[in-house]
Amino acid sequence: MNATGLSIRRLAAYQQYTAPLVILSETVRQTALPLQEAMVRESLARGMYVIAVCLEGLPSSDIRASPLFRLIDQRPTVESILSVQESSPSSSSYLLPGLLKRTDFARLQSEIEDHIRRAQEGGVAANGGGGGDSRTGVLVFVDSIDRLLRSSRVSTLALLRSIRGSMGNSIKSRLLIRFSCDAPVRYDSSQSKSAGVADSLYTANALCDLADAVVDVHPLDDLKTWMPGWYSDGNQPPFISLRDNDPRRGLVRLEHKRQSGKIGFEVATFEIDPQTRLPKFLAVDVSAGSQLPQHVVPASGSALAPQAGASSAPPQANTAATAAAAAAANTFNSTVVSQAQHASLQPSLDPAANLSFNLNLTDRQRRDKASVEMPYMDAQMASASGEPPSDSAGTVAGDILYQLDDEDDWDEDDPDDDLEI
Amino acid sequence: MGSYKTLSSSLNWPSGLGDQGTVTLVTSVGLGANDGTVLIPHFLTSAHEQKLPAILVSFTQTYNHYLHIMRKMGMAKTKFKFVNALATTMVGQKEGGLESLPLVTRPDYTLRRGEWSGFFQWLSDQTTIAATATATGAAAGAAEVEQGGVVLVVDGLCSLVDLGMDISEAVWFMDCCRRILGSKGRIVVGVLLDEFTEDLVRELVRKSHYYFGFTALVSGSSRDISGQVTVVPGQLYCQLQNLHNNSGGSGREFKPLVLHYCVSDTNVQFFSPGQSHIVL
Repeated sequence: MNATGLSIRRLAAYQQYTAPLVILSETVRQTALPLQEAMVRESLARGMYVIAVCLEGLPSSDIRASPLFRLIDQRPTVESILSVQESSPSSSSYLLPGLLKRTDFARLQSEIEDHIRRAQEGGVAANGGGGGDSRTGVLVFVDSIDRLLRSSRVSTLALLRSIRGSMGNSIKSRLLIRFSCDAPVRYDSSQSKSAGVADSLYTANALCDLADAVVDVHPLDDLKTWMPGWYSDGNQPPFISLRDNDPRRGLVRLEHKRQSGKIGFEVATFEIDPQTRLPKFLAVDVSAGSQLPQHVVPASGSALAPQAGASSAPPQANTAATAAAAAAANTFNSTVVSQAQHASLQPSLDPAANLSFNLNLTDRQRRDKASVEMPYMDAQMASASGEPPSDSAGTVAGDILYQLDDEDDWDEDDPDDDLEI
Repeated sequence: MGSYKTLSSSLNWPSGLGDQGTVTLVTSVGLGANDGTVLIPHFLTSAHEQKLPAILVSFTQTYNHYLHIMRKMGMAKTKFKFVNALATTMVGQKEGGLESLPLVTRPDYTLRRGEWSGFFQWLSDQTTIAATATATGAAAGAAEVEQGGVVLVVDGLCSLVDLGMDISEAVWFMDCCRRILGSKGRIVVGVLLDEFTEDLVRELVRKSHYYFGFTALVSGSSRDISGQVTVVPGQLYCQLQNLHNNSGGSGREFKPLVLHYCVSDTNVQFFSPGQSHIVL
């Protein structure tokens, strides 16, 4: 645990860390779309320009309504779908070449860089053209790069590299990508379908190598599998379980490559605030010896901050610096919540929690159950102590009483006597 | 409310359908009773009750198959258009071969290999007709007409993968349908989930708002329970949730749940685990 705060929290709040390329890696069990949109809202709240490259779908309406939002729409239009050329009926491919036409990467790159330049110039003009780094930050996010990868993996990686270069090393400029790491589809349709390492694994490695930070998003249920001492019961997990794809919360694992060359790893849970729709991050301790996820202690070393709105006096250990740090943290709205709230984020460990019928016992039922005397417990306890049971007739407790039949031939010899061991 | 009232109320779907502009994915593991096609009559009937045009595209069965099921379940009056996509499996089919069928069982459109553009154009026309009808109804002051939108039910999309089509092409088919239907339409896609179609299902989950997973009981077979269905949000549901928040909250929040179901000869019953009539 980072005693000075979560790295992913600072990353999302554009504090301290420079990360020009951030990849949100998702699986079919947990989407990164809520976290991506929450991070986009955070950028808009900080006055940054947001440029959306939409290849499959549009972002939420509240994001599109922002005056700082710019859209590069790469989705197929109805006219393009209806005007596609038909292929021969005997063709092995149903799909009509027009629908899978290659993306014009050069044009797309030019368009993105043009938007970035205009956004930055607009920020300078808004700030009066003053000295220093008065450029407004820019966030470019791509809803999903799967379609680009299918068109050309090499060109996609080159595009990301060039856009990342355009961002520079400003702390307020970022390229945010959402990538499906378990999509096994063949990327780069020009390649022949050959056996071997899955294309998605190769592509994931290439993207991780290029990125400055990789955020793996998992469902909260996966947390128990990361705890020491957890073992699978051998049953195949379901394709999707009841708590998957919860749009409000999940588990993230951050891999952050810093400019100093160090690589930091962090595990945290996130929750999307229903009111502000901004992300909140909570630390998770998965080290050996920990049984359950624990809270991180704030930098001040004081007790957990009370719930917002509670009329409790501040801890005596607070200093002015601590208060300033707390105020700075609160601007991101990622306060450390109370243990009750944190417990509500954890998946219930009680298997009888969400049933429609009652499996719990009343106090009287517990007493009756505890007072039940097992029929052979007396004999077993006596066997363990070497004393005969109270109702025995001279026999040793635990002995098996067997009456030989006439056909039985009891042999006292050891069957292993003939072995020359 | 649709034909399965318990299911609709459990999901908090008053109309029996998901929200407009959504994609619902229904997967089935194995054959027989674990078949998610039990939901097809529900969606078609719900659309009919809401006075919405419904289209059924089937890659696996003929029209008579669904007609027979609907009649047994007492839903014979449900009107919908049928697209025979089973013809895509046939090579060299003679033109006009379907003309010999009786009118009542003749499909409204036949989707043949390499003729998807014609289908998309037909679908676009149906969407335009539905939008026009909605505008006319609204102008006439008809309050009970929902705000347009075609309900498209696709059964057996995984058959395209079995025929050797690439997954991306099958997903593109659904993407194009969704683009054509627009923000008012609804799509329901039914696929079989096995080791050969798992990749396709993963892609479809990413593009869906609701996911219905029909599986067998974990504890084994049962005479009185045909299987269980797990209903969870799809990966696009968060955008729908944001839409509800932006509109002031319609109060209808989708609740993930697990239900058991029992398929009888003329009906399908859904109930909470442990609530079957045998237990009660």
